[in-house]
Amino acid sequence: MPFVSIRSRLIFLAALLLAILAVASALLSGQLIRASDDLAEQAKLVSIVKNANSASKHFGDLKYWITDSAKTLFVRSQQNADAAKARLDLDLKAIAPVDPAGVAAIGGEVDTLTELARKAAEAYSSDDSAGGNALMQQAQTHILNVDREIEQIVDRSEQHALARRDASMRQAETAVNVSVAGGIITLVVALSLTALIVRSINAPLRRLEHSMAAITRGELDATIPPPGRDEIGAMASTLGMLRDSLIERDRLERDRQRAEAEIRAARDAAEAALTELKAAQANLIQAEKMASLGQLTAGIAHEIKNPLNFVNNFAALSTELLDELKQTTGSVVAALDSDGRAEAEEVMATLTGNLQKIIEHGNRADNIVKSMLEHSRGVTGERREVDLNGLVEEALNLAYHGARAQDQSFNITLEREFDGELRGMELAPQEMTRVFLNLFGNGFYAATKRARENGDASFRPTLTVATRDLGEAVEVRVRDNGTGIPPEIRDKLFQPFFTTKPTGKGTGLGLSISYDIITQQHGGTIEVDSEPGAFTEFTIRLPR
Amino acid sequence: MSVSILVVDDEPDVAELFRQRFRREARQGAYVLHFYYSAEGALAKPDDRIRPELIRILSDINMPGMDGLALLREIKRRWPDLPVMMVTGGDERRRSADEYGAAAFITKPVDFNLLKEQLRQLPSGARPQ
Repeated sequence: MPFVSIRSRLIFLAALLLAILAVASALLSGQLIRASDDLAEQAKLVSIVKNANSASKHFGDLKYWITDSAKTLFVRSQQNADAAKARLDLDLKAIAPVDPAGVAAIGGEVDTLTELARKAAEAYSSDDSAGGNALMQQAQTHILNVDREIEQIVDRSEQHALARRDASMRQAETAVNVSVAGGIITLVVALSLTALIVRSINAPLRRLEHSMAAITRGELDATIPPPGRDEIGAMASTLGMLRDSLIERDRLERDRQRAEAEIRAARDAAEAALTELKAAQANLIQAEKMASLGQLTAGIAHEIKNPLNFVNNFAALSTELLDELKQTTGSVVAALDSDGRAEAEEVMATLTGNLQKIIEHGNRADNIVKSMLEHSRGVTGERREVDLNGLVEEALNLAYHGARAQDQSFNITLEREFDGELRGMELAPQEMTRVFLNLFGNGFYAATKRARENGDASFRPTLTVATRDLGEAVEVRVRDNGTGIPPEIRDKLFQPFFTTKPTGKGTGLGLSISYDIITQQHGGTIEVDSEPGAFTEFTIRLPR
Repeated sequence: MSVSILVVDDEPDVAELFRQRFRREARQGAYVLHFYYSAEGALAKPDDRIRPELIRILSDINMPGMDGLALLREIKRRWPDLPVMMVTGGDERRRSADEYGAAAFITKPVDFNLLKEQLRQLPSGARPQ
């Protein structure tokens, strides 16, 4: 059915029902018309029966009056006979169309009868009774003929009418049966056809509805009825297109999301790259700053070294000379009076003290210069394969005992978290030892400083050293629970001469030198993390 | 036996320093110090004036104009037996000094006790011809 449109189906159904109705009506009308024709025919037959009976009565009148008239010759009788004949003629005229042969026979007989009666009347008037009687006798035969004839007509028309009535009744019965059967058949056919057509519309419509509901719920893989030529088929194909466009939309949406994700990833990557670049730039700037500061440091150290040599040498010489002077002038001074001697001795003692100060501070400056020059010497250290854990341990012991040697009261808890799997690596051991000594020294200083300032007996200064093999690199972390580094000075940590220690306690070169050794000599990194009043942690990463 | 020490340094105060450091030895007559403030000056006929004639030369390496290494080479070319000791701030040119035949290599700041020891251990040397 999907090949015919629903409109056509409905039009077809309506037309069919109308046609059935029209045919049924026509049939019923025909039956009715025939029935009414039958009724008219029956009425006519009944009136003919009546006419025949009336003709029989009127012929009775006629035969009486005609006999009477022939015998009596009364005008009156003759008149009555004429009137009866006229009435008989009227009846016969009515019957004539139905039974022309009978009427014609009756007419002939009546004419003969009339003629015989006239002749008889003439015979009687001429007193020929015998002739009259013979004629009348003759007439009597014809009267009997007419009576018989009329009786036959009555019988025939009655039979005809009865037969007609029976036929009509049978026909009516048939018509009723046909009507009922036709009605039932029509009803069944119409109902079946309607049901069929409704079904042909409803079933696909319901399937379509299911599909539409499914698609509305987002089940895009729901089956859609096959597209057909009818409206539902068209709707199905439209639904199919809708589904396709939804699938396409979903696909585009997914594409868009994927594209967005890709763009986001690219943006994140770009941002990360930018961050890395910025960090690298900051590192470069820092390195450049360090390098130029290093050069400056080296230049300064070099320039200061020579005059400082002179200062130290001449101070030492002056001390010797002063001693010689004391010996040479000993007797002269002894010869002075007590005031003069005391003054001379005091001046010489002060002079000796001053020279000692010059030597002391000169040596201090000399140490600084030496550090600075070591700093500037850069990559000179010999590289070899070493066990980093061993190196760290050695430096730790060295630093600890060094600190103990300087201060008997010094103490600190040392924690070692060495990576046992750490493979040997190539580095400059002396330089790295210096780095570790610097970091450990700083850690000791910060932790004991906190212990001193804190005054809390339960505080235990602790230094933790951890090594870790990262595969491509090795990490060393040095953590102390000391005073920490305020954020504002964190940038300056690695600058030469930057120190927070009191004058004379630090050169401000330790971390600067360490920075150079790690970044320039070993291509590694050194980072610091700290929380003031809590901890400081240096993280060194050395690439293999 | 007296020895002449020719000190070559562009720094004038070096002379005073050496003079004072070698005060006792000079007084005892062990060394006679001669000072030159450039390599060129040291090369200008030192033999004419130097007494005593047993000579050691002590030269700074870093000097404006002709530097200590050039002086060393020139001296070795002229007087191969003359012991020359090189003084420098760093050790970066030590190899050159060794190649050119320096008798000793002294790093600044000069440790005078060590220097005196090295001077004593030097071979007898030769007078300029």
